[in-house]
Amino acid sequence: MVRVRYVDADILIIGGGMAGSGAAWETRYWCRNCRIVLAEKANINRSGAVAMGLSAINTYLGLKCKENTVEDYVKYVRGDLMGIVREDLVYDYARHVDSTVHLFDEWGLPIWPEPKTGCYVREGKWQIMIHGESYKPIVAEAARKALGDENIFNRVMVTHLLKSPSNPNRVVGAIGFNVNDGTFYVFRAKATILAAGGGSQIYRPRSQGEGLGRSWYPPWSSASSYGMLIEAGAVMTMMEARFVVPRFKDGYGPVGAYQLLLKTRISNAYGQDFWKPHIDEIRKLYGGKGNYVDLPITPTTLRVFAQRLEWIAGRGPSLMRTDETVKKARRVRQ
Amino acid sequence: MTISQVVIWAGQNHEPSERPYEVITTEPYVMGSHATECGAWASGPDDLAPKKIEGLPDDRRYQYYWGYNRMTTLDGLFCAGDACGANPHKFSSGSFTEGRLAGKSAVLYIMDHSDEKVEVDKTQVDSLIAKIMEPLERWEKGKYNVVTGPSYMHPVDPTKMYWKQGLFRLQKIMDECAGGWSNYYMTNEVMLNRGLELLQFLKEDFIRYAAAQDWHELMRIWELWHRILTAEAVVRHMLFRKETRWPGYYVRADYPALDDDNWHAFVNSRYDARTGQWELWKVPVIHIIEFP
Ligand SMILES: Cc1cc2nc3c(=O)[nH]c(=O)nc-3n(C[C@H](O)[C@H](O)[C@H](O)COP(=O)(O)OP(=O)(O)OC[C@H]3O[C@@H](n4cnc5c(N)ncnc54)[C@H](O)[C@@H]3O)c2cc1C
Repeated sequence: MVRVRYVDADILIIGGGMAGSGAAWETRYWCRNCRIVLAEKANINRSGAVAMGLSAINTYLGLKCKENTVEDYVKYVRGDLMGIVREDLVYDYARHVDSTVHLFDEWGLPIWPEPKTGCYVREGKWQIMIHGESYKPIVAEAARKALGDENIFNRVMVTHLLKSPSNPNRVVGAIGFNVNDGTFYVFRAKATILAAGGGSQIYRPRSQGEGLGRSWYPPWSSASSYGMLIEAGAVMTMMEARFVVPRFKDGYGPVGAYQLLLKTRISNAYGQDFWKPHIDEIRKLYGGKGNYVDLPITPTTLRVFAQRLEWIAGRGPSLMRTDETVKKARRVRQ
Repeated sequence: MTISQVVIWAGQNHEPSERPYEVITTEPYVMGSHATECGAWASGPDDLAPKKIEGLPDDRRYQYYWGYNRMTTLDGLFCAGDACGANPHKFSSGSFTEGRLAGKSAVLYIMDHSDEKVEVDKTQVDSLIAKIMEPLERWEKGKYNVVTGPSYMHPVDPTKMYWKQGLFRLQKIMDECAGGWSNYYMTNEVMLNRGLELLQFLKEDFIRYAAAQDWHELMRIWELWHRILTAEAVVRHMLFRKETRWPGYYVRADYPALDDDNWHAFVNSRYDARTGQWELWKVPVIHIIEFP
């Protein structure tokens, strides 16, 4: 016996992570009398990639303190992706991202203040430091207040988008089920916002039996966004650009604070620089029309490649030289 | 520092002020919000997106703008965060921001279409529900065919595929054929074609044998389906782009260099679920900011 519940809405949001929460907040802002519902397979308070908190907000331009320009930001992002981005889309979120961070500040997210200037403490050129353990609950609270808890369907795993019977190019909602009690939900909506996150556990993780499921992007990032888009016949882009991140081994702790804030270097196993020995070869192969190798901020993908050349040559692993920059904490007297 | 890393350091008597710590690259992830750009092809904002690009078909597959910011090529469907492609480096703050942009645009869309009636086909819904339920029923009907009792993984059972078995199989295919860590992130056309072949078998087996013992496992099964479809898109795109653009992420060893003359372009694709056919094509990159 299957229980089916039909839910009619003006707008359906699939996924209550960072993007879904932003959609919830903004749709309510522009439409006070709309019915807006959100389906989340976990519980919005601690769901998505920010579940366990973050130590930095990676994108903050600091326009009001004249720290950066939107143009410089677009150039940086384009360079990091070796020349290929939709600059209209990047420019668009970049010009608005500071206002989002100011909302987080207002909602109580502890962002490290820079008392002298009234700006924020910079981790790096684009990043700022936060005390971010409760980042997701703080953001989720805003989304919940915007929509009302009765419009948030926690524990509902959405599996397929629904199409209009008269127009195969028109999405009219989605279907899913409650993972605790098995109730099916058929959401009928005039507009649907897909924000179900990214995909981990598609490739064999480095952590196997001893730490099964341990990965950098969280194991619950199930590629549902892409799966549903693909099956519904949406045009996809840049799916080959699946990527890897250099992180502390096994714990996947963030390296940004060490590299950017404390200016810690990474060496090969013997304390040597990994970049200079390979720069000529890399420039020859990957210099390209954008002079990618010589950009002000070297693209991550090239730095990662140079390190790998060291590993293949038997001079691995890469080492984060915290011994050179971290001061020993003083022992508390007993 | 994140708790899980500190726990590892404490467990290994590691003192970061005394010793350096290993840094390693992870297994590959498919994402659109971090330092990469997988996802849906979407319309840009009307004041920034190039309008009607000359020399290209007047078709959403090639154009940058069709009326509603962040609307995918499907009417009424918007994307944000990891779901939205070709605009990387959003991270947490930018993903929330893109949710706001998509949200505002979706409100505009429903205002413009307020007299449109949303219809859903009851037979389509019923057949979808039957399909979603099938793995549970397969378990109910066949639970006495299990060869061994439940192990820590899953029962050994020649007529069923449980989620973890399917997931491990997917991960092995992708790791070995499509540039995972066990191959130092290297691949070539032969490996990718083999991966594609193995993915087809996996899809067939999923359709025939996927089984779930409860609602939680049913979630895992449908997550697996989303991952398999995504994996297939990844492999097809990697096959299509005949160059190495991001050598740190993967190397096409048969085309080991970057090739801006031929591949300074987006790769777009579309899957037709009715025919099972994929189409892939290039779309030029329009720079709105001086390049380089
Ligand atoms: C370890 C780590 C460190 C990071 N560090 C930083 C950092 O320092 N600074 C920074 O700014 N960013 C950081 N990020 C990136 C940031 O977390 C992501 O970019 C951001 O969360 C992406 O937002 P999203 O809404 O697209 O996805 P998510 O936030 O993951 O949200 C997706 C949501 O969809 C739900 N969902 C998925 N599938 C379904 C389905 N089928 N049905 C219903 N719901 C579904 C999920 O449960 C989840 O709630 C980090 C990420 C990780 C994993």
